[in-house]
Amino acid sequence: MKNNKKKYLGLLYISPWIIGFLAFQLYPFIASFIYSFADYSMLKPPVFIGLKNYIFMFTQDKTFYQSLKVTLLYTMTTIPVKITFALMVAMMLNVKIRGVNIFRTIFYIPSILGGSVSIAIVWRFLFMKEGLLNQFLSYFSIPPTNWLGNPDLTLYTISLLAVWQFGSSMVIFLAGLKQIPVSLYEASTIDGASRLKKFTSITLPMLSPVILFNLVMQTIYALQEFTSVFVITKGGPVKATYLYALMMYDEGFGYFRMGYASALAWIFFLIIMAITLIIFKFFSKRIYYGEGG
Amino acid sequence: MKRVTSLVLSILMMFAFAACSQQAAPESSQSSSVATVSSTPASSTSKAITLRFSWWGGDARHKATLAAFDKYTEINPNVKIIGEYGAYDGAYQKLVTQLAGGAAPDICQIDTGWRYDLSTQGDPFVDLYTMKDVIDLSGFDADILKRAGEYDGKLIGIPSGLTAETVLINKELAAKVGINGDSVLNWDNFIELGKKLQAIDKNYYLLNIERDSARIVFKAYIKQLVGEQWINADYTRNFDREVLIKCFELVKQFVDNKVIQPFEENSLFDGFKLQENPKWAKGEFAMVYIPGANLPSFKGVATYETDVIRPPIMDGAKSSGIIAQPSTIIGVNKLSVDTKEAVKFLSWFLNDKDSILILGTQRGIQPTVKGRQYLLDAGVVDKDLNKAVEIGLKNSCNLENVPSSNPEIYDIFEDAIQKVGFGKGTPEIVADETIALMDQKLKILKDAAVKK
Repeated sequence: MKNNKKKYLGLLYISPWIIGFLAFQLYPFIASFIYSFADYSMLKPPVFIGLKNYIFMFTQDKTFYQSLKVTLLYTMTTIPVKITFALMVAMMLNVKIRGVNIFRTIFYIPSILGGSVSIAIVWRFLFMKEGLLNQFLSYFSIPPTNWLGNPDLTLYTISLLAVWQFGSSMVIFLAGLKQIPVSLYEASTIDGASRLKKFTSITLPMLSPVILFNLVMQTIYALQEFTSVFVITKGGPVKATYLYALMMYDEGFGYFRMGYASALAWIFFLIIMAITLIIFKFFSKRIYYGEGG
Repeated sequence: MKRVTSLVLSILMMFAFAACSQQAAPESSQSSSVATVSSTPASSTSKAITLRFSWWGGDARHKATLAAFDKYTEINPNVKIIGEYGAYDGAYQKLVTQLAGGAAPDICQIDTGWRYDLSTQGDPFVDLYTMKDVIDLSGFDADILKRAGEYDGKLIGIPSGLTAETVLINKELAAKVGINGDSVLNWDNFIELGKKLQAIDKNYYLLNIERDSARIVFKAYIKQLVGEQWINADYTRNFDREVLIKCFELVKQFVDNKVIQPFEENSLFDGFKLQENPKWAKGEFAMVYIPGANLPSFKGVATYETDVIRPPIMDGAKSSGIIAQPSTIIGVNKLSVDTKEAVKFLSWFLNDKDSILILGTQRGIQPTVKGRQYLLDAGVVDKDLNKAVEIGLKNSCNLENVPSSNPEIYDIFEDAIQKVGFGKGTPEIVADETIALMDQKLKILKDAAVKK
């Protein structure tokens, strides 16, 4: 009886989360799956059409492939740079010097500001032709570049915004670095190992689970990027930054095709899952989990 | 005691989660009252009523509209109007989402091109013909009401102003190449003038343009070649490959001869944000081709004198390509808290002298004869807008049919113009791609239209 009471009390404590999960995650999850098999404009009841949305997506919609290509390119550009940068900064901040906590906070701030609309607007003004960056470059007699207007450059400029928010990855790397036993470095010093050797033979292997975690999480975030392209470029110029999330938004809220947008969302869910599994598979033999791993 | 406290906190958190799912605060709203939206319409009484009105526009329009609300509340103290306003960009998607969620404002400003899709998808607006006892339609031209406000025999919105596509010129810069308020342009002398201007100063361009306004310019060109509608009512193209190639060759000529700023530079102002281009404020564009209703926001930024001229029309054109029509209509949501009061307010907003004097020409020229007279008598008529509407009405082509004004067709065309502008394809290749995409899209739209 007492155990039942405890159980119900526990459930009561977590009930806000349960209700939130049911209402705002599970219900939309299931509803979107059902809508993906329907012609649904949001203003009228859905009409079941079977697999027509999926068939159209794979056989006729050229924008689907174009958008997927842009999204994968964006992800492959952003993730290696972001993770490398985060690791470099984490290593620099893994020292006992006065004021290191202030530096850690400063480097983390961009992550807090996050993919907000205001930051995206600031980015736009920084990188426009008359923007601050070009003005700065002009002091070195470098001619202005169209960072956001040139279709060959725009995606990388947007990618830079994501890289700038490396703080959360950095903090996780920092925590991982602190877990590496100092004795390993001491032993390697005695053996005459160089700094590079220490990095490749101790730091990287010991940090491999953390690298995998950051790689998977950041890849998922990058694939779902929306705010920056919506605010800064609207997917242009010439669809050079037309990320998948923006395409779903246009289909669902711009063209009254929420059914098709739901189908796009589900296919994207499968793609993200596949990419995640590939990452796990590739890294499975390269991850060092310690004595128990 | 601890358990009771925990229980109370848990319940409060549940309500906090539930509250998160309610509509977030609108982009900008001005009122100290809380909006009350119910899902069932109520009859009008003298009880306190709060109505929500959404629109888009520039700062001047926002200010004038809010002032009109205050005036109405003075006369009807039990009625409070909350404004929900912002820029045009994203306004359509926001309205669609609100309508889908049953949380749309009581009164909505709607682009005339949106009414087809909004009406066919769900019929969310009151048929104002059924409320003639509340709203005064006598001052409105029946033909304009039919052409701009009706769908399927129902009056879903009342025009809030007349406007026409026009060319606003920077008088000083335009004069350097011999353009003045009486100039008549065609596409050939357009290019010559552009070259002349560039020869004077490499920073000067003849035409301020971006992706969305480029659609207006080059669609007009196509209509001058083929006739009143560029897409037929049966969802087939009224232009062939050769016409489209000609159009894209014109785009290329504009770019190559520097009639327009390179697309790499103007693309940041996509979405009709041309007035945000610093070069416009600096007076480095001779002209801009826009819907007349946008004139105030461009003039507001310009520090130089302006005038309007007729948009370019080619010799022997089959149609002028110039659309003179109400650019926006205002409708009442069927799920309004008080439909009758909302319609009553709308009638006052568009007919009352005080309202008209406050609103001025912020939504174009007044759509009623007496409205125009009020403004003339008060000396409150923007001379450029007035001239734009006069020129437009004199040269106007027919209003566009349903498929011609479809947003997805616009997107395909705008993408194609950008592709040519960025040099990502020759006019021939881009024309072929565009035709394939458009035909595919038109088939989908036709199938969807037939189902309804």
